[in-house]
Amino acid sequence: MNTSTAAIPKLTIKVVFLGESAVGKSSIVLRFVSDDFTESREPTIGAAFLTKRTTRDGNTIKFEIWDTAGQERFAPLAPMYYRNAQAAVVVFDITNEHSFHKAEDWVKELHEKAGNDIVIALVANKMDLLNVQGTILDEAVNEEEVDSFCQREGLLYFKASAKTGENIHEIFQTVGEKIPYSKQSPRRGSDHDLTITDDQRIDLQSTTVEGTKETGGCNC
Amino acid sequence: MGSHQLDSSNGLNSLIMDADTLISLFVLVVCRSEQRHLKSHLYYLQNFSNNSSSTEFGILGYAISTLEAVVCYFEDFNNKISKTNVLYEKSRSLLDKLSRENPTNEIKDLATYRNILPYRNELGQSILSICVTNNKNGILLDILSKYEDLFPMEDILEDETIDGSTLLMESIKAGNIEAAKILIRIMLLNCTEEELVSYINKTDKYARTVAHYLTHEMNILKSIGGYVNWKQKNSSGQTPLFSIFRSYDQPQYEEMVKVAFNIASTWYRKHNSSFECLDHTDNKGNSLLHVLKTDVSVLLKLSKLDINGENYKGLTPLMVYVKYKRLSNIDAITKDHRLILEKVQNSTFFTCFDYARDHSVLSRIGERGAKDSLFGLIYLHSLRYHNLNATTNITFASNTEEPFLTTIVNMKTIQGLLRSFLKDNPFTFLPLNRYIDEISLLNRSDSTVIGKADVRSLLHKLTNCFNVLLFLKKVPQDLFTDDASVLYWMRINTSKRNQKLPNKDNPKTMEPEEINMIQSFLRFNFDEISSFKASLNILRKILIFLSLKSTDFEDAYGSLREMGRKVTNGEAADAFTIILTNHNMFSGLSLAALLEHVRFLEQCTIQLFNFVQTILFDKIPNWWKHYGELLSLHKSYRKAFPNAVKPKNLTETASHIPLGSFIETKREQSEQRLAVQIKTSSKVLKELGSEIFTAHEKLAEELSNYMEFRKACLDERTIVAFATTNIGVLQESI
Repeated sequence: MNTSTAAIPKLTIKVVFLGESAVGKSSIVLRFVSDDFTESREPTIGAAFLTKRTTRDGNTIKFEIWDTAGQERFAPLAPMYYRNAQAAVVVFDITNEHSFHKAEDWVKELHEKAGNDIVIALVANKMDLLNVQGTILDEAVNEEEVDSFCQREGLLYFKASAKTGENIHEIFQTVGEKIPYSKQSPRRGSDHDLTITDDQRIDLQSTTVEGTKETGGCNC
Repeated sequence: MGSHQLDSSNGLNSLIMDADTLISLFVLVVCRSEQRHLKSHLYYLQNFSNNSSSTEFGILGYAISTLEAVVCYFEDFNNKISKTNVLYEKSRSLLDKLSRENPTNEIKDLATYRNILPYRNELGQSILSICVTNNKNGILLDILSKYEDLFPMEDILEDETIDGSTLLMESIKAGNIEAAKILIRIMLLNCTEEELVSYINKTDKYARTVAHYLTHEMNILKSIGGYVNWKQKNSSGQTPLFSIFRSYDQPQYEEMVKVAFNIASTWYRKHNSSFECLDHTDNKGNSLLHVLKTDVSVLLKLSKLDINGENYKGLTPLMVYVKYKRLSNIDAITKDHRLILEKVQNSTFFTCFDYARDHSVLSRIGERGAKDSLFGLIYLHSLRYHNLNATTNITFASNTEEPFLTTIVNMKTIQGLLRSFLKDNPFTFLPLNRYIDEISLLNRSDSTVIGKADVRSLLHKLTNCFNVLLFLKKVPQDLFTDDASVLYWMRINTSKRNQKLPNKDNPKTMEPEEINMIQSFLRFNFDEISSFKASLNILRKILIFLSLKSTDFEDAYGSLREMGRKVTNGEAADAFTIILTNHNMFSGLSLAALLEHVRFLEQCTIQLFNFVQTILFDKIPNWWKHYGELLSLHKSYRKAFPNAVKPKNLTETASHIPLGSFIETKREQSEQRLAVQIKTSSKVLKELGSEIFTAHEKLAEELSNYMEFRKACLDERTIVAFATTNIGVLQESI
């Protein structure tokens, strides 16, 4: 849409979504992406892999959003996904205490295996359920416990609702701002610095020739 | 997630495929595609791409990561199997310790087995269940107390094997009563009543509850009996009570039966109903009465009870008792007025007597038969063949210390007895001749239903017959003590008869007035008997046709209604439903019994009727004829010989005349002829007269006997017996 966003992104951020199944990972992603969804509809992948461009300081940033399987039996497979990720969003269900404990486990695992450079955001989803008919119900997850945990682990913390859209864009906005431009290249280029960006460009151009300029984004 | 996701995804709702779905699908696809060298392919993709960033980022990166995840998933799966092997070894050692052969009842290092305690074996037995079945109560208690977190109360309640046996069932089946007690104690302490009721009434694959296994454990039954659903039937339709009643090998059978019955009755009361015997009939139609071995009187107290109910083989409880010689039950049940003694087994036409094998049983059921007989005096039953002789059992009221005695008497002896009696009482109203013939016709080889029915009906007739004889005191009460006493009585009778014979040669001259009197007396009786006979005849016919006719009527009625429906298709046709025949009011069995009695009465009446008829319409007119002849002879004699007043004097005077002319001689000859005629005529007359006189005397006696019998018969027995049987049968059909 916007020509500025259609331009070659200055920064591509790989965001991994982690969390127990049914906490609403895909919903958050879809909510975030759905506003200008026409741009990058990829029905065959659906909610598992989505991209979204935003601008930061006049530069285009692209989010690559990787969904992971939340089921317990797939838990050992998570490392395949968060490898090379710059950011991780760990989601839990505010009405389900167990999902919070699971989230704690994810955070610990990320710190251990993904290194300390990774930006981790903790998201309490389904906040709308606490405001049923104007009355605020007691949340199943203890607020103070969450706060102290975030302090301790150095996490970004958001209370969001995929249903109402509350705080969804803020999550990505904040995460995007946390990732430095400079940081992308060394991380990525740990093996081959220059070739990657070159390849990416070539890739993008090849697709944009055929269709609209923006479609190049989906191939990244 | 459901609605949450759908709301936020707008138009994409049907296309959402999240990572969970994707990986599951991918695993399936990879597995089905049976791709070889999967790992090599993956390695190649990851490391030999001309653009390595594409394998790490973007959609291609995501795809390759997903493939890698799938490969990892398979690897992980293999690891799990090897882990399982380790677990298996551990389980093995635990199971060895728990096995029956291992004498230890305690595991010191129980903690090391903690992670395999949720184990179940191939029968679905949990560790607890294995402890229970292998008598490791010490270990059981240990596990239960130390690992309450692994085995919370809810899990214990839910613990079932593949067969659906709960821990409690397992313990009782294994005879581990101590474990059962432990479990019950824990449950009574920790569970609500609702939980207990549902636990105790859990069924296994045979639909049995714990209570079905409790046939030998009175104490446990006492402790949990109140929670048992006593109506719960297992797959063969047996309720717990039924199973208990059937466990004959239980050493304290009687007590157990009583306890169980009391608990069940209390349970019924608690559920605001009274004990219902019909709830406990199994799939084979056996009721509690059928299976109970002793103490049937407990059940007989119940008012709603199908005492004559048949099982699928057509056996009534009484037949079962007789067959298996449950004497106390026979005693109890034969005292119950609801019993129908001679109920017939459908297929074989056997009655309970056919199942009886020894004297003690026969005498018990015979006693009931005798009580139910016409005058409650005697009952003939169980015709048996020994070589060529047929014998029957006779149960009769006795004046010795035993109220009823049962003996075996040869049918030939009975036949002889009847003959001898008939000789003494030629005018007896009992159709003895017919019975004597029927006894000779007994055919042992005829084992068809008809043959059995014949025998049965003959025995009934003889029962009726001897009942009458005893009732009228024609034969001594203790006649049937044994064969010999019958023979002795017959011998004495014969000799009496022989002594009497000479006295009989003393004809009595009958006067016309006397004959008139006899005639009018007999005529009166004749009218009475013939009208009674006619009504009996009608009654008999009605009885025979009652059921047929009512079936006819109902059929006609039904078709009428059908037609009405077709024509009017409305409510008018339904008006026909209101009328119902009384077809179902009378059962076939009671009708048959009534018919038998009516028939007997009718036969007696016919017999008597015939005697009266012969005397009234044959002998007496005959007498009158001879009397008329005699009178005319006297007249002609007097005309011819007016001087002679009496033929006797005349002969004397005639013989004293010294000179006789030819005429004189002729006269004399004719006179003598006349005199001879008169003599013979008067002799015939005298004989006839005396015959009529004795016949009348005997008949009068018989008539009075008959009237007495008839009154008693109608008043007391027939109707009562009919009503009783009918009530019995109807009760059954309810």
